[in-house]
Amino acid sequence: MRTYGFKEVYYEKAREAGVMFIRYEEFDRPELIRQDGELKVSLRDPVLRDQLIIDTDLLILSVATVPEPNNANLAQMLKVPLNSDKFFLEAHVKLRPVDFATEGVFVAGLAHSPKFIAEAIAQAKAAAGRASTIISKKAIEAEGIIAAVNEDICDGCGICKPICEYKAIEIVATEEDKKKAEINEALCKGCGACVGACPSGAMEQKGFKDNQLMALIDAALEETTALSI
Amino acid sequence: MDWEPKILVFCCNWCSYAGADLAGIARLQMPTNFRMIKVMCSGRVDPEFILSAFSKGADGVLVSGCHLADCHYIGGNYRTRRRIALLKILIEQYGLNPKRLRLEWISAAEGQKFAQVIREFTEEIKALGPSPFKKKSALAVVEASPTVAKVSTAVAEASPGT
Ligand code: FES
Repeated sequence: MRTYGFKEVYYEKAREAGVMFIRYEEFDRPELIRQDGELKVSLRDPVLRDQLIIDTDLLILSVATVPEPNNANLAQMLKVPLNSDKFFLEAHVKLRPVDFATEGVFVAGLAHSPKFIAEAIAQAKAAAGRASTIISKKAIEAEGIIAAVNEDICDGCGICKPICEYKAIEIVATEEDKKKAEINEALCKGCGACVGACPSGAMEQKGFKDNQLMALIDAALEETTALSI
Repeated sequence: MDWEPKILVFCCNWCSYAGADLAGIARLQMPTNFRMIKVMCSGRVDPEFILSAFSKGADGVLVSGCHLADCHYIGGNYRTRRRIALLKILIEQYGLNPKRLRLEWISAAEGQKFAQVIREFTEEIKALGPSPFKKKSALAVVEASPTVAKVSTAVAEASPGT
């Protein structure tokens, strides 16, 4: 038997008090049965490899902690992910345990997973600490990965404009009586959807330029002997 | 030498890349035939990338993004869905089985699904055999870049709006 966290002491006390612990396999769960008008628990003990039927005077079931049903709505609103049990999922289990990938949103407590109060407090402190790294700053630097227009190539066709979800693109007239796309750098979130759509290759995403990604594709598909070992 | 397929995977930064990361953390077993390229959003995947990947001998291309309505950038993956649907028709005209191009929605919590998709897709590509563009002669035809540029224009024009 392995206890959760530092709860070994409680396990020892319970054993001393005469409590019996019986394991079961996950695919072979205990069942409640009625036998001769009485409530009994039937389970297969994997150690004894035998079926046990336990008489009951009083049966107490430990209640599960279920996630808040509204989590899905909140998750969509804040653009943060849920795990398969519908609890909130942190950006990285080890490296960013109270952050979300979305900037400025943090997680603590039961929203994250069932846990003891001491853990919830520790996590809340961590989240508060992370949040203060943002609010202690006078100004926040905007993302560097945003779209940029190469004005020499852009024809102002306007395909990019309806694609932008943030209304960051305007088609403006240039001095030479031509049209071109203009990007509002504060509004642009840097998804690159307009870059993927630009037919003339005038739109670029900083950090994810066409030629950079092409170089990645080339490298990934290069014939190497290393692949076949 | 036994032929092993080469699969290119485009993952968006916010869901699928994290999902792949999770598959790694959980040490899930997967074939090693894929190479991954991270983009900020699946909507960044230019049709030209996919066509050029095929022209350079990729046996399969997988594009993976957040679930619909979950895209970090509101609706990037709806654009992706349209583009891939068109590209499938297009690559078929080039003589490629449209099954070689696959679109998946994988969330940050779906490490299992990521591993599963990679396993399935690798199997499927193995069954289809090497890409017909693997041969050098066929390669030259598609690599004539005006064709690729024109094609991506057509796809881009078909995809504005939601
Ligand atoms: S960010 Fe994942 S599909 Fe747009």
